[in-house]
Amino acid sequence: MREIAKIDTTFAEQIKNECGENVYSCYQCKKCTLGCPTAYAMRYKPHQLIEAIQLGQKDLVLKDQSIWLCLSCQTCMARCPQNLDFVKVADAARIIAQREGFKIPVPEIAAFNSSFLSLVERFGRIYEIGLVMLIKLKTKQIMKDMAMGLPLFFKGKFSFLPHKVENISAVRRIFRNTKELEQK
Amino acid sequence: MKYGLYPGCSYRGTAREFGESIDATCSALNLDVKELEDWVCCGASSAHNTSHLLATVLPLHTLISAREAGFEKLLAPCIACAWRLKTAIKEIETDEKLRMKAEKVIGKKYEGGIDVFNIVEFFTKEIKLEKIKKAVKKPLKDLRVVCYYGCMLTRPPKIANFDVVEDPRSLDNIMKILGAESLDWPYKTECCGVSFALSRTDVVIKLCHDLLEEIKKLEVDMVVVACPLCQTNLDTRQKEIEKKYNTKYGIPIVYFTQLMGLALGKTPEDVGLKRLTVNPFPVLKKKGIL
Repeated sequence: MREIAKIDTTFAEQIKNECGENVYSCYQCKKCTLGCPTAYAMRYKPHQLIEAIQLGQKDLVLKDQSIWLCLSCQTCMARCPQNLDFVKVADAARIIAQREGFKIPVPEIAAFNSSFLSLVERFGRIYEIGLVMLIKLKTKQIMKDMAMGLPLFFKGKFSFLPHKVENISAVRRIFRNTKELEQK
Repeated sequence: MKYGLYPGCSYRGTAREFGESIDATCSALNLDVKELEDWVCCGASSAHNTSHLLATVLPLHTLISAREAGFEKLLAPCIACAWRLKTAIKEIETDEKLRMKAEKVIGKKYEGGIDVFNIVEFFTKEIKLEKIKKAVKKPLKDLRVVCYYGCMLTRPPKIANFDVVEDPRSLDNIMKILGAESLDWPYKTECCGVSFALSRTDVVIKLCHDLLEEIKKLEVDMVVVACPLCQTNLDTRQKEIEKKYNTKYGIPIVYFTQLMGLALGKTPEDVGLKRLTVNPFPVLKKKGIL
């Protein structure tokens, strides 16, 4: 008799530890993918990503750009008949990918996230001009969005200077303690 | 001092007219709303993409400070902020391990006892439509609008706990009591591309194009929104979308609080009407609202 292949459940367990979601509850009805606004741009659609995690195909999930194209709009989870939260699974996969040093295949999104958080750590709030400039520098697309940015500027929607919170040491402590606790 | 206000980063930035119109509307209704002192960013989409703990502690810090300042009710006008604050409450209250870690990071205990409202929920559930209706001075007669809810106003259902997930009506109800005609349509909760505004603009352009095409068929005077990202994506990118798809929309994308402010007797300056990219003045003048 032919031997039945064993499924590697390590990655699914890692996802569960990270976000509490059990991917094995999915029975591939594809409702998530049918409602997903960015499925058109994904190489692997949400239901396929879940299947890949079920099968333990960690590299396939974490090296591809698909998980990074999830907008967290939550259409998938609101419609899932099994109450599986794909947004949480995508978050968990993105966090694991970064922690384990996988290269983020959509550099613009990585640039946005790191710029955003570095500004929050520095000022406690978002400094919009600073955010735009940081992303431009990191992605080397200096002229992008100028057509949109200038009218916003003339309508008084960008302020020149950042608004820093007074108790910035509390914010820095939060960032520092989070990093320390996560490294343990 | 009844309601705390957590303005979020866009309130006086790219969504400045949203902030101005909320201030104006609350003053027209004599509501006691006070900004939280020294508030900190909720971390928005970048934190939950990067660290679950960070995505929890940033909003938790705000919730604890709000309680320390004596607030039991917190208004978070930005739909994304409201989502992150409500998610933090839910997770802290159900996950003991996460709560212990989060309290260790912040160095303070979370005592609970705070309600977070998004801005539509605030006016419909907390302030109530009857009160608003009584205060209408200038009904929005003959104004044909379509309400666009976007993704996070009702989702995730367990966290938002507000309105019907697939077919919300709360914004339409506000428009109706203000005297406008609000049309039904199937795309009301489709996504605009949210935080990809600066990173994957191609996605935003495509999704907003699909929305604007559907809106064009309805022949409305304007689109009513409640989220800073929906507004910015549909309004500031509209010219780019017209150029890319070789079409013409010219549809103003207006915050519901701007129309509410006008109906409650505030001026276009009070509600920041001139800050919109697609000019709403001509159609409002034509309808006799301005």
